[in-house]
Amino acid sequence: MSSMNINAIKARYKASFGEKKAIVDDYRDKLFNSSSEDLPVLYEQIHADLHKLAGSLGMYGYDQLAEQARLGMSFALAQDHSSLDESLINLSLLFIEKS
Amino acid sequence: MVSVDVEGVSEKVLNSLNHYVFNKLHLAYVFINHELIVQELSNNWPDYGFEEFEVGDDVSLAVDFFVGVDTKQRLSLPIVETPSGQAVTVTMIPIEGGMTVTVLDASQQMSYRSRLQQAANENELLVNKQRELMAMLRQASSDLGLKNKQLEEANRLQTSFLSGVSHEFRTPLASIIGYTDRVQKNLEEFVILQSAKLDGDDFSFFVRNQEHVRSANRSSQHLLSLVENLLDHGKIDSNEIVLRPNPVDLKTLFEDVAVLIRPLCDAKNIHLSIKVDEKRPSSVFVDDSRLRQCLINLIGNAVKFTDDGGVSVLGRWKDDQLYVSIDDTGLGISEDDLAKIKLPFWQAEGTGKAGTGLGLTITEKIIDLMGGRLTITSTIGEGTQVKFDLLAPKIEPTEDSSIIECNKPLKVLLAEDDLDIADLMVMMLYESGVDVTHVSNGSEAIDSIKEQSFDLVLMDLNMPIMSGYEAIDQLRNLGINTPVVVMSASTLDDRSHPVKKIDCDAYLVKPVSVNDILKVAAQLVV
Repeated sequence: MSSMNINAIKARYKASFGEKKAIVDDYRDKLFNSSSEDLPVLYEQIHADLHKLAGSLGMYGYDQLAEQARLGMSFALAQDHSSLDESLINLSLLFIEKS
Repeated sequence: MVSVDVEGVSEKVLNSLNHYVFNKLHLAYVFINHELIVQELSNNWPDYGFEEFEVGDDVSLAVDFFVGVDTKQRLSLPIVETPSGQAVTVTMIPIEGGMTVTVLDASQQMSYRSRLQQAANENELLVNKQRELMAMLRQASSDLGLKNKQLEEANRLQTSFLSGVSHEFRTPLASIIGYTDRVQKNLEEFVILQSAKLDGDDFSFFVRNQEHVRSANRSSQHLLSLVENLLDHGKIDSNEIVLRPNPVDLKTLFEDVAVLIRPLCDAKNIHLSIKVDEKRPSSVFVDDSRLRQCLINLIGNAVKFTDDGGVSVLGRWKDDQLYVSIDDTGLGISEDDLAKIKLPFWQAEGTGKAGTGLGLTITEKIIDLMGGRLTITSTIGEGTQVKFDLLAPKIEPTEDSSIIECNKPLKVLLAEDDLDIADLMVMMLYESGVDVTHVSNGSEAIDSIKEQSFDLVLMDLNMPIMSGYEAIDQLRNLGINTPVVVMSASTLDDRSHPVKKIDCDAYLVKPVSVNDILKVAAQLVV
């Protein structure tokens, strides 16, 4: 099934890990700096983005990253600040490890 | 001697028998009448220390056992002691005219009885001793059990403490790594963007600061790996390590490791060779993260302890097993140290090499979990060879027989807003002979379906402008019955629109493979 084209797409996706990590790190900053009134909206945004991330990570075979993203989604849905922060840290570290 | 009439026995024989019995048994007797007057007695009566009687003597008060005796009743006394200290049995037999009192030596019986008593006493002592020892054993066993529990608890606390502390270190370290990464990138971008305005001194300033940040980042990464080691040690101790095998290309994995290790060798000016045998399957089923961790640990150690020459690594695959050999020309390890090297926290003295002493412990345990074994051989001054093997089953490529065959290519509309997913799916479907059109939202999907017919629609749910939910509703309201397959990351995309309420023909949970799509298409497309 693999071909040069699919391999190129996969390589390009892997190369985007730096940007994805930056988005995750950015969310961590926002979690830290947001006021309590802004947090609910932030949680929804994080949930939505992690949802997309989980989808694409799974499609490209990065199961561990996808699982971590899904974990983050559940924490965002539960508005569990500290657990969400920890899962974002883990996600960030995994992006470093896998890139 | 009294002659007794015994039927059938002559007097001569009786006499000889009596003589024999009296002599053999040293039997003594006295015959007394009912008034307790001695009528007859044996010559050896005094031998037992009794008072010397003569015929006619009154014995009613002479000997203890005569006192109050009933001469008409048979009586056998238990062993008594005579005045001379001998042990005897006394039997009183009533006969006509009186009573015969026989006295028989019982010294053997007494001796036997004494010995029995002594044996019984000794046995009692032994039994008591045994009871004491059993009690001591039970106590010792109980103490040992308590000590074991205390040790287990101490071990658990230590592991919990290490995990807790490591966790606390991990979080800020991750922040440091993340932020120093970003500062590095920001500095690079800044230098590029502002290059026209910067002079030589400015450049030097930025280059120096980049180097500082890079150093801080490297140190943090190193600290993080030490902390990860402590965490892993804790997980191994409490059996929490979970392996996640997945299809792995060994060549790529070994090349990745080489890329990581080579700078360390270049810095020390030592040679590095990392190869994997060409005779191997394209994919094997292993936990690539853990295998990479083991290789980095072991090869890293080899590099750490090699100052001249180099490190060679060879990986071979055979019969679902991966064999790895790591040879270095380093300091070597003494026999004493070889025996201790795999112990947690142990480090060789005098080498000046930093570390937690956990890397090899963790590596060996991970290899063991992966169904393998680690061995180390070494010669001081010549080098060390580390070998390990582990299970690496090959993955057979599968042919899916359910791929549909059509006279014309399948026409599929893919509605997916995530470009990463869309790119991959389009390419995979295209390479499977599917004619695929891609749109990025529900509104574009409606427009495309109105313009041309499709065999199948693959619809993501959460899309901007118009979601998959709305798009499907509109399609059905327009009377368009093209089969729609919903793709979602979960069964409950949001609380207000449970997926099962959507009027779709099939439902796939991401990640979705081409085969998943073609199987569903085979069922839905007529």
